[in-house]
Amino acid sequence: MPLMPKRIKYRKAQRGRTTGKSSRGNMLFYGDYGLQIIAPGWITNTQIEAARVAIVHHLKSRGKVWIRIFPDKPVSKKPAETRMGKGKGDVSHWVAVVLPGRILFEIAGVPGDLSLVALERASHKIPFKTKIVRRYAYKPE
Amino acid sequence: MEELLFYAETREGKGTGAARKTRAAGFIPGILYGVGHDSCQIRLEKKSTEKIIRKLESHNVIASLVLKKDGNEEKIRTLLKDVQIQPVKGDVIHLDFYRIRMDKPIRMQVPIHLAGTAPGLEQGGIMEHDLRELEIQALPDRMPDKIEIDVSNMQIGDTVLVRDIRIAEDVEIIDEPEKTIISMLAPKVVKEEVEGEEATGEAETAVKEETAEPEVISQQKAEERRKEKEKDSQSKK
Repeated sequence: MPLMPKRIKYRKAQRGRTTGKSSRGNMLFYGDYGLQIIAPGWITNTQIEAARVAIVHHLKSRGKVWIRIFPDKPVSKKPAETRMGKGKGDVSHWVAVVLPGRILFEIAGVPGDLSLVALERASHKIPFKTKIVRRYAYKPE
Repeated sequence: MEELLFYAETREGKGTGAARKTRAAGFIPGILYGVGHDSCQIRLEKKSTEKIIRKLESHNVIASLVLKKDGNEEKIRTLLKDVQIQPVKGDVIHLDFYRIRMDKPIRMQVPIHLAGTAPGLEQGGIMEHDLRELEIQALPDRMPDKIEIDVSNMQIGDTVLVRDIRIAEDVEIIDEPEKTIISMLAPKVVKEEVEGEEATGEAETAVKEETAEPEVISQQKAEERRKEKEKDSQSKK
C-alpha cells in the first residue's frame, strides 16, 4: 500500500509556496538520532519509502524507526504527448511538503555508529541536502 | 550541582526589530520577568552563553543571572524557562529567565537518567524511552538536578511508569502516574527478505504499481446532494 491519505477533502490541490523555515517538527522528539532537511521542497511517497527501507535494511530489524513526515499533497500530471487544455491532469503521486529544519526520520534503540550509517544511507534517497542531528547532551554507550 | 552563571545587561527597545539588531551586534536577546517585578529586556554575550546552553541536558534549569543595570551588578536567582533555537543553524535566538523566590515552590522539567544495563537488552529487546523529562514541583533548593531510574532488573515486557518513581517527600511529581517512562519491547520477528538493493528497488516499484485511490469527501457530499435533489423532483411529480 503506497503512503497516502485514506480520506481527502478534495481530489487535486494547487501547488502552493515553500517559504520560510519549519516552525514545527524541527526537534528530535522520539529518538536519539534523526535526519533533518536543510532545504525546502517536496518529498514523494516513493522517496520516503525508499529511505525507510534503506534504514530498516541497515538496522536489520533492530531498534525503532519513526517517520516524521507524511505525503498528503496530491500532485497531478498530464499524460505524455497530450495537447494543452482539457482540464487539470490526473493525480500521479503524493508528496510531503517540507521546509528547512524539518526532521524526516528518527532512530532509537541502536548504537550511535549504526544509527549514523543508517541515516546516511537514507539521506542518499532524499533529493535535498540533509544533516544528521543528535539529541543534545546524549551520550552514546 | 554546579551553579550556572549567565552574564547579562539591559537593552533598549523590544519586539522583532530590536531583537534582530541585538543579534546583529553579536548578542542574544532575552527577557527577565517574575511575580512582583516589571519585565526587563536583556542581552547576553553570544559565544559564552551558547557554550553553556550546549552543555545542558535539559533547557529547564535553575541559574543565576548577573545583571548589569545602570552601572550596578545584581545577582538574581532565576529559572531558565525557555530557550529558542534556530532549527537549521542551531543558534540560540532568545532566552527567557523567570525570577524565582527561594520560599515558593516552582515547577520545572527534570531530566531522567537510566542507571545500569538491562538484561532484556541482552536478550534482544528494544528499550523504548518514552518520557525523557519529568515535571516536578518543589522549592528551588530542594529541586533534584536529575532523576535516576535503575534498569538493571528490566526484562522483556517490563515497563516503568511515573508512579514507580520514589523521590523525596517534599518533591511532588506533576506528570500523570499512569504515564510510561520506559518499556522493554520484545524483539521483532525477522521476515526473510531479498538482500540489498534489489529489495529497495522492488519496494519502489511495488509502491508505483499500486493505484489505490483515497476516498474523496467533497465528491461523496456532492453525490448525496444530487440524490436528494432527484428524490425531491420525483416526489413533486
